[in-house]
Amino acid sequence: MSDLHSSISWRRPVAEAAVLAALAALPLVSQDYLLLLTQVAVLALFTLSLELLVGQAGILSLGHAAFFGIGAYAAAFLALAGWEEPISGLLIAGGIAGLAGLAMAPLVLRASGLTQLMVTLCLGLMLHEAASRGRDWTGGDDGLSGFLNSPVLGLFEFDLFGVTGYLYALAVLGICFAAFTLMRAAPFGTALRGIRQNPVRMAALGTPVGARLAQAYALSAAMAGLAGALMAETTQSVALEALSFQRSAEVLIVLILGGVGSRYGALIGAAVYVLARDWLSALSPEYWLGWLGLLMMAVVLVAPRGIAGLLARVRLPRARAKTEDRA
Amino acid sequence: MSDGARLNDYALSVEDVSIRFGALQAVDGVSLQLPAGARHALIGPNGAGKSTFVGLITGTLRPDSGRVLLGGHDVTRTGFSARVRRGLVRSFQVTSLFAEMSALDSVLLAIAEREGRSARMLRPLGRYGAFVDEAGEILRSVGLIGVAKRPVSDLAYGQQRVVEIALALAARPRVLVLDEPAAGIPAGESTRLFEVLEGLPAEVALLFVEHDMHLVRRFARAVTVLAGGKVLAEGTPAHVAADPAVQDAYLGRRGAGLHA
Ligand SMILES: Nc1ncnc2c1ncn2[C@@H]1O[C@H](COP(=O)(O)OP(=O)(O)O)[C@@H](O)[C@H]1O
Ligand SMILES: [Mg+2]
Repeated sequence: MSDLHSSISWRRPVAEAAVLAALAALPLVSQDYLLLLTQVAVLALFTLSLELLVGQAGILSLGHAAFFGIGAYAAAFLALAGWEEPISGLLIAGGIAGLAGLAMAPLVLRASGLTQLMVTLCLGLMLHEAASRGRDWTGGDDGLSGFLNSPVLGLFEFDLFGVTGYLYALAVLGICFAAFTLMRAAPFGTALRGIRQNPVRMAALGTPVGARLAQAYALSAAMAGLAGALMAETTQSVALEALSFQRSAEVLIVLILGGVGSRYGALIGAAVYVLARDWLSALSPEYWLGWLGLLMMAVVLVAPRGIAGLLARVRLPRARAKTEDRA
Repeated sequence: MSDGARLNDYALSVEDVSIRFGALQAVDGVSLQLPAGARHALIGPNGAGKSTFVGLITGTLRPDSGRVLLGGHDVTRTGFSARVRRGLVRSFQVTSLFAEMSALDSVLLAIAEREGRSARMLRPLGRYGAFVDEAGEILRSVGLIGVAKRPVSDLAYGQQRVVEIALALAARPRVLVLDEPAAGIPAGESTRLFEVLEGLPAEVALLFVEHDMHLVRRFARAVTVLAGGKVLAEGTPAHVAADPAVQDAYLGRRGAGLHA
């Protein structure tokens, strides 16, 4: 019987903390890539929120930028209104996005499959349109800028080189990743995967399936809102593009690229995507978007389960018997 | 006890339920009472409405008319999962599991749900020690302990049917409804599966759909025969098997089945 009990393994958390520490030490070595890596962190957090929705709960979305945008605009409104403390601003913005998610959940969860995709798409487009029209509030196509958050923890000012922004984004991502990891292994995450695999069977266990999915939707929206707020605070601006369909599509591409269902997929996908985009746009200023598309397609064709899935396959043969789907 | 449940109420009481699919009256005014501790078989030719009746009892279907009472409480308007939380648990005729999950995790999930812990987000499911102990006991009692950590999609079909039973047991039902639990598994294994069911606590009311009259005679104390959505006969297994109308229904449609 005792072999059924899972023992705590410290190897993974320690390795992950080591990677985080190395990344945190990077500004000591070079400050060249900080802005780019901050973008990676923001996109990784946004992608992680979609992984919670798609990879765990099995809810499809083509409009997830709605929550990213709500978080971004909320953070900007707060700073412009004089609430300049960044951490509380971030949390409030995430909370607002989460509430928006809770409000939209009944609409999205009524549908399934293509209809669900359609509902998320339309909600995203409507919000984009509203923000575009509401110039007085959102600045319309010009977006919002000219706000500045006060120093993080009252100590670290957002500096021109982006050192503070980078470390702040890294910390937020690290905390959210840890929370996601806990949630994923906990009863809640397991129940979400159960619902994705067989909702009728979950109901037969007594699970209030609709309520669980609504919770997942709100959590995912809150995390997307945190990502949006993080972008607003670290770049001190919000563009209308934060709410765009392109951003919704991009985050889905990044998730598929990294690997749906994997814990590291969002992180790997975001890093590969942002770095490849930067590299290709320098290499071929005119055609980089085409090259990027080609590269993404090639990766997904070679690795249908994303880069994380590919890495797991390389690593798995020896570890398979021991760890089952705990990656 | 708000709507007047009494001590001597049936564990499950179905009163005159009917449902129609288009032109087809699939279940037509069926009543059934299960006292605590019942071991009740539901038999009838294919298409008789057995699975539909199970759906009406458990809430996957809503009756057009009639009532379902659970421990004296009217649950006719109560949803499927809410009935499960009140102790009315079912399994499915067609195996319905979590393909990517292990039997252990599936059973743990069932226990977590029963204990109202399925929304917890901090401690890994596998580290709820008491749940793991209980899951181990259940899996041992049904003979799945050796494959507890394999994904259920890797298991043989007969073993998957047993996982269905394990999930139902983990919910600690007061009323357990099994729709052809032994469907599609070899005869020897189905006897073994029913022996597992014999280990159910005595007070659990069990209703099962089963075609094999050997198993019905051996494990059921009462039988209801459905045909064309109606109750054709009711009584002890021996009484029902001797009923000419029942023999007609079987011989007429399938030419097989009732000789024990
Ligand atoms: N959802 C449905 N829609 C239409 N007809 C159905 C549906 N479910 C079952 N039926 C029909 O109702 C009748 C009873 O089916 P069922 O309850 O599955 O029978 P049994 O389980 O006794 O074999 C069959 O004729 C079947 O085709
Ligand atoms: Mg049937």
